[in-house]
Amino acid sequence: MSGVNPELQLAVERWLYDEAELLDDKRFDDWLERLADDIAYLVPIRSNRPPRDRTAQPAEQSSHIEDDKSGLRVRVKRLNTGLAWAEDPPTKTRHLITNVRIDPSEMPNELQVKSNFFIYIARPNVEQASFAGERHDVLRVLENESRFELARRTVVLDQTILATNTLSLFF
Amino acid sequence: MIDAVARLRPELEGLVSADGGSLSARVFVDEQLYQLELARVFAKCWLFLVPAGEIPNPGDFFSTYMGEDPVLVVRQPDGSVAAFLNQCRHRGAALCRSDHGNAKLFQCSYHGWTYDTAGRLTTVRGEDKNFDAPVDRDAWSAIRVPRIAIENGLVFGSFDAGAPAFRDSLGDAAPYFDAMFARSEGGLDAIPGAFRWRVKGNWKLAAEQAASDGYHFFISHASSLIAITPEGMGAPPKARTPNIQFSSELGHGIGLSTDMNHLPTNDAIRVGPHTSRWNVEVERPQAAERLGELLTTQNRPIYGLIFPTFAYLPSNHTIRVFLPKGPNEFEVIAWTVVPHEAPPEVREEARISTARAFGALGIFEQDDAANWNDIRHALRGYAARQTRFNMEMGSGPLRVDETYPGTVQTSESELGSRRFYRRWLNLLSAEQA
Repeated sequence: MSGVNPELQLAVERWLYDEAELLDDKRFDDWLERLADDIAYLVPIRSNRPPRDRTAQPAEQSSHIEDDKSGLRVRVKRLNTGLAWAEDPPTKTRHLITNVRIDPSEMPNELQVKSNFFIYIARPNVEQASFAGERHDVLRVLENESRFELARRTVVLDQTILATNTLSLFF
Repeated sequence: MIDAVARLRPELEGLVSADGGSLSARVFVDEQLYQLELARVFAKCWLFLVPAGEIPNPGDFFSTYMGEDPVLVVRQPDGSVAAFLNQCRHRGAALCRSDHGNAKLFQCSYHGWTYDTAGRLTTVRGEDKNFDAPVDRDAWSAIRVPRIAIENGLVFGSFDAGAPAFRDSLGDAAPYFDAMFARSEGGLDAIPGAFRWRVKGNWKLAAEQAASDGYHFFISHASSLIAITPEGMGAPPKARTPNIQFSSELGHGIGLSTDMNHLPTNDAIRVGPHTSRWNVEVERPQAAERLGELLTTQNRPIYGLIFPTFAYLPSNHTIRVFLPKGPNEFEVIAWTVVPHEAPPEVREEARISTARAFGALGIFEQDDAANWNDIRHALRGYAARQTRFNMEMGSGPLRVDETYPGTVQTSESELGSRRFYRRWLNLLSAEQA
């Protein structure tokens, strides 16, 4: 555990909680504002493999999501059309963000932040879903230590077969 | 099962009207029909298993399902592919719990019987001490999938030892199959990493859509089409693409774009500029050289189903197979595919755009899943299950166009859907099991 000062810890946690609020309130345009222009947003596909499997991970792999900012804009633009039927009426989501761990990065103005998430999703007709996992973020420090932008997010999902895909959410 | 069929037969015939113009809601929810499907569709037909490139080396395996039967598909030392039930012959526990990997043998974790990569029983724990005689290897090996075909780098299997050869099972769809999968020397590469997700709905909705449903596209996917079309390009390219659909009485269906002038723009929007250019300059001419111009440079397949459950969206670079999980749920396994000859920038555009549009979290996939989910929800109701659904679109006299092999209609016809459900019904009600 590196010597992260409590103020920085608080500032990062507050930033993550505010982000979760934007997502759950579906203020996606405001959420996009918090992302660096060079953001890389990745949700790798995971699978169940034997414990001693030595097959090398291939260099080229599909991911559930592999978006830059323009790709994330496409997803938000779809939700803003008013024609995204899977979101009519809107899905209710709740992001619970926990276990926030901060480590310095090799870049002086960046922080490596890991957090755990649990996302509860409710759709019409008592249909529910949930996702748990870990986010590996790179937060870039702007001006002072209370403002950040998200420069990279890798989402490690704990589901291998996604139990639902009527999802317009961001992790 | 045969008794059940005899008992059901009078009811079966009415499920899909003789002209195919209407359909009973029961086909999507009935548990008895579902059990019949497992025996008569999934244990009979050729089913897609895995891209051969996903299991390149001896011992490489991929775990999947044929119907609800779990199977291991394994590359053999001689380069062939074997598939067998993922079920130990002692008490039926699984031989392998992983999705994919490499194995020298498969050992059941219950009592430790082991099997080689072809599913042949090798060792029985305690055999020399506790069994009166050696266990008969021929009788007690894992149940092999008797028929395997590798066609253009795609592995198919059938549980029916007497099934026609895979090529013959394509019937009049063979030229269209080639126009999708045999366009180049190297065929299609699957990018490693299979998308897997569950949909709450009946598998036939997804299959029928891939065979024949150009109709839903601009409504279901309106938001996604608007979203992927860059600012300044005006409205999404809707009615500008006149399309046609081939359909086979065997249930296969393939949609083709006839507006080749617009295709480069469409490819650029859907996939990316490199892909658009490469398709015009290399991919289509190369395919035309192998297959002739009709289904390569004059028309291009844009969606298709090889009955019952193998679907391809060529302009979106994805193949998928639908695995039934009861009448009310199915699993999708999908891969992003690119022509083997494609340069790195085309592979990258395919990988990224396919995930965005048609991966498990793809924006187009969400639209479809929501609709299928709603259908299932309503069909929990008694009155809803007594209803019939309309499949009459384009049911006028067949427009015969000698230019094309087989039967081709405009995409504003549901002929492909009618044929899909008639074929399904024929299999269910066949005389012998």
